[in-house]
Amino acid sequence: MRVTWEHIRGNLWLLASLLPLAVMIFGFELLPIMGMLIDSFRTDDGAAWTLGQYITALKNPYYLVAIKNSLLISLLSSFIAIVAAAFVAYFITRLKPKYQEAVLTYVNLTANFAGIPLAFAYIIMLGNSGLFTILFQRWGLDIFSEFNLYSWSGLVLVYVYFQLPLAILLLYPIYFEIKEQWREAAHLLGASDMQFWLQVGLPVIMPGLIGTFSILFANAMGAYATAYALVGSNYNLLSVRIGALISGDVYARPHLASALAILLALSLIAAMLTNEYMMRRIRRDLK
Amino acid sequence: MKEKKALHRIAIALMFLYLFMPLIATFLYSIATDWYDTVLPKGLTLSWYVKLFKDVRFVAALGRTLFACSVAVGLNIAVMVVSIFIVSLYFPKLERYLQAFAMLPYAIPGVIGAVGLIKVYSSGPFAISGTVWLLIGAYFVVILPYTYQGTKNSMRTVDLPQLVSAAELLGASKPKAFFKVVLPNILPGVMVSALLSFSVLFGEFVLTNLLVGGYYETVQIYLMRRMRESGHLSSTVVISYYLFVFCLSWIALKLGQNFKNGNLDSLRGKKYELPHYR
Amino acid sequence: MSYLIIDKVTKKFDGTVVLNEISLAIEKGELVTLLGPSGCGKSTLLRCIAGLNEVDGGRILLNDRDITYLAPRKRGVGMVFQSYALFPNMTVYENIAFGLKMQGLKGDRIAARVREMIDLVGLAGKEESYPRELSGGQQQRVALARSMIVEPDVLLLDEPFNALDAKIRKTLQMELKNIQKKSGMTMIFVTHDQEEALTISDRIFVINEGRVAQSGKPLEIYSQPASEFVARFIGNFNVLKGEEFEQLVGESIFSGKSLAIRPEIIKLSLNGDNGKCHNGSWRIKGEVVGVFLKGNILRYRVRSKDCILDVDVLNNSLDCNLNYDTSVELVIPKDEVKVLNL
Repeated sequence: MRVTWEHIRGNLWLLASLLPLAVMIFGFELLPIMGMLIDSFRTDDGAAWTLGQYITALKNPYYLVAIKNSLLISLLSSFIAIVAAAFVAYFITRLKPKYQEAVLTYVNLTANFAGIPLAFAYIIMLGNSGLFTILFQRWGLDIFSEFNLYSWSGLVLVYVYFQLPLAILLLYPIYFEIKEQWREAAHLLGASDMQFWLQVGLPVIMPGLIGTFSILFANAMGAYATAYALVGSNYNLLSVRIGALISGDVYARPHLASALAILLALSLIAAMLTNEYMMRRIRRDLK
Repeated sequence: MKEKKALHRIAIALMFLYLFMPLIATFLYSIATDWYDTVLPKGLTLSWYVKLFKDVRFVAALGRTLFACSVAVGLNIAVMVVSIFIVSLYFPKLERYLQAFAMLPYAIPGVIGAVGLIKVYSSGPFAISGTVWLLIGAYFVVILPYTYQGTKNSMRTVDLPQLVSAAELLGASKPKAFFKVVLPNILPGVMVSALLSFSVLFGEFVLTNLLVGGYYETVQIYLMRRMRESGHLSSTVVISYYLFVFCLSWIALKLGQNFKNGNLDSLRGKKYELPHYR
Repeated sequence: MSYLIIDKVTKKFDGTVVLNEISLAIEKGELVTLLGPSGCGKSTLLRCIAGLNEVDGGRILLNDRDITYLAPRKRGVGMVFQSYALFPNMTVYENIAFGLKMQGLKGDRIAARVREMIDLVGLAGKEESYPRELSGGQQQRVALARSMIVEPDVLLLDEPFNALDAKIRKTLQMELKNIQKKSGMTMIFVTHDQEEALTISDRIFVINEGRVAQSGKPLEIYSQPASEFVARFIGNFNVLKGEEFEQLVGESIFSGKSLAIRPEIIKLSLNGDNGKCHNGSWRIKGEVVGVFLKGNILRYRVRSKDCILDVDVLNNSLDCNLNYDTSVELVIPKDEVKVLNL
């Protein structure tokens, strides 16, 4: 289509009305990302180009531990949540349709309960004078009453809580991909329930499972509010570290923060790529 | 088969117990007189709620939150609806880019966004760091995925191209068609995503804390501060906040049902909005 | 004793009776068809035989075993579904081998039998393909092979060709018949297409409202329908009330009865053309009110007094010259007028 002056003038008003959106996207989405990318390759005083920030991020034990902790907690909580959700979501699909809708609505409601309110609630329940802590003491269950909410296991517990509803909501539609007739055919050919799931059911939903795991992992890695409220700076997590570096608790190091943020983003991308790769191995029929 | 059904129900019941326990505990705390080292509270009272809503600082925080969220959501909806309309009808080639940019914030955790935003806006010509305007700008981008999806879905449900063609055949110009035909029809669907966006922003903490922190105390920041001081008061904030979100979701759900005649197929089509980052 | 016995089986869904004490018996090595309109219960009966639905009453006996309450896996029953139900994550080879794998057989033992089966259904060269790469007809062959390889006592086919084009259907019908003859497997075929039933069956059970309306060899059922329902369903019979026919022929012997006349046994003659007088036939005068080309059959719709009769003639040049409003004479052999029992 030839672009004439008439054409541009005719569409000028239209293009102009797209301007506000363009400005907002550029100003608050693109520019920050670019700025962050650039900053991650500059020295602390902003004067020169360097890889130093990345080297610090990966060599300095302080930050290395943060990365390791975040990875560990994210992987573990995502795994626990997805396994539990796989069963629960499946059970939900076996209910009567009108109940299914109701159950999912309530799950959706609890999915919003996260961040500071969630940390607070868990402190009430399992903190040093939490109601369950005291209950366990009364019952003499010392193993449980000595549980430290403010440790990595506490974090995993709380993370699982907000991962679970998300996982259920994401996994639920996937089960509809399994046709009842596959199961019937498999039964008639001599397969037990377990054999059906291993041979046909699981492979069919595997792409969905893997995709969901990616999302859960990203969700956990990016979590800030919950951890901040629960352990503050007392436990070394990547997201909280980054926050500390830009809000200048002691001294702000925004360039290092940029490098760490980029690394965080890379870990998400790496997770997604790993999952894609795994999926291709398991479902060779989906090219 | 019958034993299996029982197992299913028990599992789901346990799940609900697990999911609602924190809420119940917090609620109890908010109506307890004294609950230090006993399993159950010593007494019940509503005095904490009264205290909360009389607290000037809370009311101020509530006002600030409502302001920032409303402006961000309002601005976003206005801009998005018009932009999506124009792109769908006039510049379909730009559709892909619009979608990419609109969905991108969903993949970026708040922390990462905060780093970039502070870098750009803490100095230079647009030094709005620490002000509510930076926050509103950030909020705008945060809810892009929700309003984009919501608006697109609404437009698809009413079959936008056909609607506009029908209006044009009856003599309306495109702008007229937009205001008189399209807008009224997609309004319910758009309202749903507006309400959802509002609840998302209401619970937003990471960007708020890192971008404006103490300079603009929203409800979440207030909660964070109070948490150290008074457990009872904090729990009332949590319950109030949750009730508010609950109401918003309920309204959104009802609106959505009327709009789409919900059935099992819409469940499979991911009718549920997925939560924001924690 | 018969190989497969359905003994007064009853099945209800939400209070509606779908199978009404239905009984039938099938011999070993037969290919029988359950034929009937949608909703008559034929698919439900099939699923009850397979164990996918539970019966509310009655018994099912297969090869001298009472399988009424056995789990599907234990019945020795195979099934081919209308939607093929092939496992999407497995190749053709793996799909077919599935049943053998479930029995615990090892790789090389499986390979020989799978190869045999693939040749039998005509899918050589497609072993490594996935279901979504195959056409509907090919997928159905895989489904067939998959079910047959485990050598079930009886193979059930639930409208297996319903989703396929007409031409492929015809091809597969013949192939199924051949395969069945070769293997000697007992098969129960369900369809609502009477032409299909007539083509492939050794015997047909016509089913209506949860009961057997008539059973017998295809020819028997076609030429001697027992009831008005069967007559209307099985072919393009002219079904008339006794009184109507009496008006046309002037004899009152059919009062209170229903009659069925096959369109292809009615002969047409232009008035005065045919001088011979057949005493074994009735002669009726009428006008042509419709001409329909059905390929190798030409169907004339003739009105006589107030009755409409369809007459089918072969589409060769001898009888094709009749137009609308042409006066014709219908010659109907007396013993081809069947009296129906309700």
